[in-house]
Amino acid sequence: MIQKAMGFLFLFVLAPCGIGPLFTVGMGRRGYSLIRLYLSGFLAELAVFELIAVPIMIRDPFGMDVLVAAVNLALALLMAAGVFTAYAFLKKNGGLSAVVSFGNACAKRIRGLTWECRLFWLAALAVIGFQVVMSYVYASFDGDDAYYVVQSVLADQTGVLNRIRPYTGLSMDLDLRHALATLPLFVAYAARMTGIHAAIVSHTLLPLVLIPLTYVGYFEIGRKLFSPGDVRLPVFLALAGIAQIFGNISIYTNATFFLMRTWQGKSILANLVLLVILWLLLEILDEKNGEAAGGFWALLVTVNIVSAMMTSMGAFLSAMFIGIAGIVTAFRKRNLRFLFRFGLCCVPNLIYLVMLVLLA
Amino acid sequence: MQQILAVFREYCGSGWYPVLFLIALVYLLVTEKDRKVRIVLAEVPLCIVLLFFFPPFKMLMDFLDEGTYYRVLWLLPMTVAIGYAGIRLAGRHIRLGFAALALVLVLTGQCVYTNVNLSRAQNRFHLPNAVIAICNEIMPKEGEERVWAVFPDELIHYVRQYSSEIQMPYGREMLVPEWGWNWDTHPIYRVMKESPIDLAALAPLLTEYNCQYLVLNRSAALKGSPEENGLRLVSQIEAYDIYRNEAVEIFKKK
Repeated sequence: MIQKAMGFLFLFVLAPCGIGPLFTVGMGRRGYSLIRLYLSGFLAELAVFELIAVPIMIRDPFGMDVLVAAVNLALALLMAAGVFTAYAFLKKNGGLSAVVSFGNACAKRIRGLTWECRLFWLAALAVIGFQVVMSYVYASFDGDDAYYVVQSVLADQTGVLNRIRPYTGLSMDLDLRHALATLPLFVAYAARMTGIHAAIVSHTLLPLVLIPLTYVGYFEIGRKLFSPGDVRLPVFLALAGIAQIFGNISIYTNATFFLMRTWQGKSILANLVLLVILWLLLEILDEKNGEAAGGFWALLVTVNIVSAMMTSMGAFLSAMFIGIAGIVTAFRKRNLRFLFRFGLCCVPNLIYLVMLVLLA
Repeated sequence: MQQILAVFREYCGSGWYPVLFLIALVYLLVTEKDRKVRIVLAEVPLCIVLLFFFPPFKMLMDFLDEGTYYRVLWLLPMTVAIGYAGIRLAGRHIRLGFAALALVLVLTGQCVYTNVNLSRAQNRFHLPNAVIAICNEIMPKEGEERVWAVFPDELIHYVRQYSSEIQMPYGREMLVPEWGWNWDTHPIYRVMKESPIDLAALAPLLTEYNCQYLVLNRSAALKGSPEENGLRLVSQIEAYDIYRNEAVEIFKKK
């Protein structure tokens, strides 16, 4: 029980919160947000895992122990860097009194909400909470779990990285087309760290984290579309929640993947990752942001690496989305600066796709 | 073009969300003045829609990853655009607007929780209790090598999600004929999918493939006696009988 609690605390609380300041400090005043700090840190944790897992998996078939140690070390170093960055930032900007005044400003903003706004917030949180509860209470059948969840179980229980045929248990060569998307190994890593069975991590634990986090993506987009304290923000969130519940119009939609295959990489790409890219585009293209948006650019690079971690075509889809945004922006602003920078952010996608073509 | 339209129709399925999105897209293209919002929520999605219906792009995507063209539609921010456009349209009548929009979303969509693939979870693994109990029953003991077992179709997906200690001579690939595996006629599966299951034909194959266990749904019709074919009933769990194939020993770890 202690291992479960400590592992969960490290992976899903301490590491994201510790790494987050590395991004939010670079976001200027827009980085003053605990939610944004957590989201950035969690995505960075996934990206770091992908960067470490791919070479280890390729070089060492029995590399699970090495992978766990290397990821822990990297996360610990990044956490230390993040905490130091936050400390230096706070020291420069008023120390503890800045934290207190930030807390007071948040409390004041909440107290200043109208009753109508509070009710809509309650409605939005109820819709989101309902989905979280349903993800725990209901199980969904998906045939792909016989591949992805089993890969996680195999890596956790045998320590072998993607060299065992999930369906049968026979040996196989490294299937790089699937293996370069290392989310199943991250699930195995989470299973190792928490001592919880990989199937429980996939089906029960991850949805409890991923569903609220996806709504953080909607929340961030809502904050760009509507002014803070605006009643329309919780209305937007509640509508987004309803659209997810009733979005099961076919087996192919983002919403169907979101609530029926929450733990699969395809679902995380179609929902969390693409929403974060959408939000980052809104932030980056916001002219008021000026040059203070370095943290947003860094997060865009990070989320591109995460997209490659989710599914083999993830890197292509996210690069395509950002590329089209770059071309449209260049055309509209008559300036190639954004296109060039968006292109630079997609370098990880390019490297990944070259690896996919050459190795797979 | 016909193929693209078919993909789009399949994506739309039984609902109207893509149509609502296209209406929202037109509304935002006509009315949105904020440049960043206009670019991200209207102009970029418009380009993606045009690209989606552009046949050479479909050929490129098929070259990269055939059968996943619908994923291009994931790039369209349908929920965000519908919600934002609807709220803007509602203007100051936000309560009325919310109620109307929520009603439209409910009536034009399909509730995910009515999906046939969803059922009440029996445990935190979100796997059937029967699978867990059967796996625990045949799991190798301390110092024993992994075991091989044959399961009925309805359990195949779940077994190895619970334990890597239980191996199967064939798995999910047998259940998806359109994958066209060249070894999709596994001799054991060929016997298992017949009704009745011919135990006299099955038992030698179990031995040939080193399978220590056979799990059968009790409702499955059998031809021949398990005992006469060297299959000893070791346990009955829910709707399943578990047989031990006495001809194959459980190996000790070296």
